[in-house]
Amino acid sequence: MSEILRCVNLSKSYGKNEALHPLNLTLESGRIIGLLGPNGSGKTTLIKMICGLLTPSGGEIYADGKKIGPETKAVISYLPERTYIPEHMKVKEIIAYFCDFYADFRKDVAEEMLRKLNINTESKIKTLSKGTKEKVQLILVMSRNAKLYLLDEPIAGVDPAARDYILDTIITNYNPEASVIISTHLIQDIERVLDDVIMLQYGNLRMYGSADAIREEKGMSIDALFREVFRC
Amino acid sequence: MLSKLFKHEFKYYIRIYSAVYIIIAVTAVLTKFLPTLVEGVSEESETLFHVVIIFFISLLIGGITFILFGASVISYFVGIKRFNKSMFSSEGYLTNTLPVTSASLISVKLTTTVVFYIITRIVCSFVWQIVLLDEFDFSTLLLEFGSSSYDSSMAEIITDFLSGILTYSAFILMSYMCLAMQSSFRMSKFVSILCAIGLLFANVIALAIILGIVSGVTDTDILRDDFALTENIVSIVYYTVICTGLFFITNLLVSKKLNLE
Repeated sequence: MSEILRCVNLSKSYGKNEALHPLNLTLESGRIIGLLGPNGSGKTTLIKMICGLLTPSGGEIYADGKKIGPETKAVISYLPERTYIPEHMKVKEIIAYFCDFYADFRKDVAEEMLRKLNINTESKIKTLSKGTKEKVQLILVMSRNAKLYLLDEPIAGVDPAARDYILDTIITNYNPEASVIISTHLIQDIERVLDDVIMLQYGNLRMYGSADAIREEKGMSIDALFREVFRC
Repeated sequence: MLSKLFKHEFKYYIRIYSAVYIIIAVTAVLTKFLPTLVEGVSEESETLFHVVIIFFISLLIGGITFILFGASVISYFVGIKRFNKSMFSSEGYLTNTLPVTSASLISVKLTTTVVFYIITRIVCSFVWQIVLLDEFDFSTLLLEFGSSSYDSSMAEIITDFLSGILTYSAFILMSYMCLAMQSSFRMSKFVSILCAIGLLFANVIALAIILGIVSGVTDTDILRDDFALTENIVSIVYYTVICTGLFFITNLLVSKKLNLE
């Protein structure tokens, strides 16, 4: 296993508000990592800095051994928590868009998943329901043969049946040599697929380790541990 | 990657502008040919149909005049809205995670905006000349972009054209920079607009000062016709420097200070 992500004293402040305190973290490839924490703990901030959407206030990030830039964006597949595909495009046009810019995009895989969900590629994005848009986005992201997948709250706001579909899509389609970071606070649904766990609170790293090791050490599930650690 | 960025940017603009050009063409054709329906009709033989047609023609003339003279303004707002939406709104999550440099993104968006500005002005000039005036002069197309007249030399017309394009590009880049500042430093839209207007006035004043200095050095009256070529060349150099500086600052803000909400 090689190193896929390294954060060195990574921090982010908005004026006097420290969204992320200096964070040191190294992630190996080939792992599914749960990025857990309550709202406002810094999960999305961390993910956006890795994607290059936020500039760190301090420290460095290295993805696949390189500083964040066009080279790292070519190997990182990112699913934000919002709809980000242009509404004026058709589904087939956004597929062509991904084919043009991402050499690792598997068009056949994307089309097969869309076919299974009965999503018409001639449909305009703006005519799709919220849930269907999210599924299209997920399909686009997971159809890439990336080295690092960053999924920000992929199961928030969807029904339980859709959550199972999303998790199965993630497990079935990701590159096994890659790492997947799934940010969520719905731990019960996601615990079964996690190899490692990172817990953030108030911008600080509370815990990082193997999910199995944590369960054995604490004698409880990750969900139960989360409820205990972050009890209001 | 640059060609792919251009391809998708052009596709977007063609979708927007094709609708605008169709409206211009249809309005122009109707404005030209509807009056034939009421030609030779005297006041005594006028019917309600003729009155309605005349009223409709008046609306069309007003509408097409507005569109032809407002095309530059429309082009500006289309370009700025596109940049803001694709770089700093939800679409920015897609654009800013593409494996391309921010310099590529900005240069492609600027170039496409300017190209479609030029095309729109040419279309409007063509419609105005051919459809409405029944005559065509190529130099009139170039005159669209500057302040030269038919008495100007070809050198003056061409440098005036280049100066006009660079001035427009600088104005676009000023707006890009202010939008980037708004996103990076979480400024309000009002402050961002004030910055853009302030920069615009500062540039106009700076260029006027420089032209005044050049006029003094060359001992030529700035209002004389023979100063026009010098004025155009100074303007080209000035706005080339300004565009380079604005591009550099905008790229710096997007690449090093991006703070997407």
